Amino acid sequence: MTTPTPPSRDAEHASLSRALEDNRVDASPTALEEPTRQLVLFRLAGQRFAFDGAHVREILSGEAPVYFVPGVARSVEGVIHLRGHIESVIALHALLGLTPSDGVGRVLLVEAAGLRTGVRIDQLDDVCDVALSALKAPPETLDTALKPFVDALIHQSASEAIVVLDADALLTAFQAGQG
Amino acid sequence: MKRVALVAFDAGPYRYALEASRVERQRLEIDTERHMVAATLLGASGHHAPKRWLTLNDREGAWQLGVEGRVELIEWPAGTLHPLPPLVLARSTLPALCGVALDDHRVALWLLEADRLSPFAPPSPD
Repeated sequence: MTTPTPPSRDAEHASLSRALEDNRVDASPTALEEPTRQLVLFRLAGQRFAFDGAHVREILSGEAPVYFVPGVARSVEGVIHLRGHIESVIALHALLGLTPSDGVGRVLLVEAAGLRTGVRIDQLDDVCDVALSALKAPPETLDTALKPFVDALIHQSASEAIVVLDADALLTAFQAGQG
Repeated sequence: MKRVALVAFDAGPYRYALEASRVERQRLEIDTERHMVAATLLGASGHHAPKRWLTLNDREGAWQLGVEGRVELIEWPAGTLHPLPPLVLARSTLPALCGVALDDHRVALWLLEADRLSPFAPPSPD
């Protein structure tokens, strides 16, 4: 229970309106009912990307030792030992037409297309729910390397967008030898 | 705990192993025309001359694999032998590479499938 304070008519009017405004809950039907999609937002080569949260099983430290596997493509970073299992770690730079990055960043354990693998990212930005209305179809002018793997775009500003990646398409292409 | 008998050897910078039951014998010299240096077969750079020759068999008979380093017959806990993940297998240029052996949670050996190792008689499709 809040303790009453001595009356101060002007201050009370000012503080009440501000308090009401500050505490306003957006209860409009649209805000309550609009479906959302959980996304894992990250960066690769300075660009912003996202995976659908349903595809990301785990976010791992980038520091875990990775064992280079003899005779594999350069985009296969290697394997890691994760709680009794061996998981692959791959880099998506080549597949997405990006410049390879330095640094360990993080590893997302991604499940898609019946496969599971660690995907090296440069930086984890956020895990959040995004309204479906914020997801826009990719434009025809999208970079040709990216295009097959883009599910949607989220426009942050006139010049910046987050690319929501199609994890199924990415891992299928990777398995088929692309990237 | 069950154990698997392996023959471990070096090829370039890596240590590999084959199931021991697939290695017929070990020799210091080549005694068959069908022979191949393991490092060459496995694409390893900076390798040394083979010190031992392991005799294996494929569909057409015996062949020899030249290996470096110490050749050991070891018994490894079965629970620490893991297959390679599908994406690694899909992007590998080494069809015989099939798994890893862990020692204290670290990769200690790369496991080779003897049936897929011979450069002379590729395995039948089945």
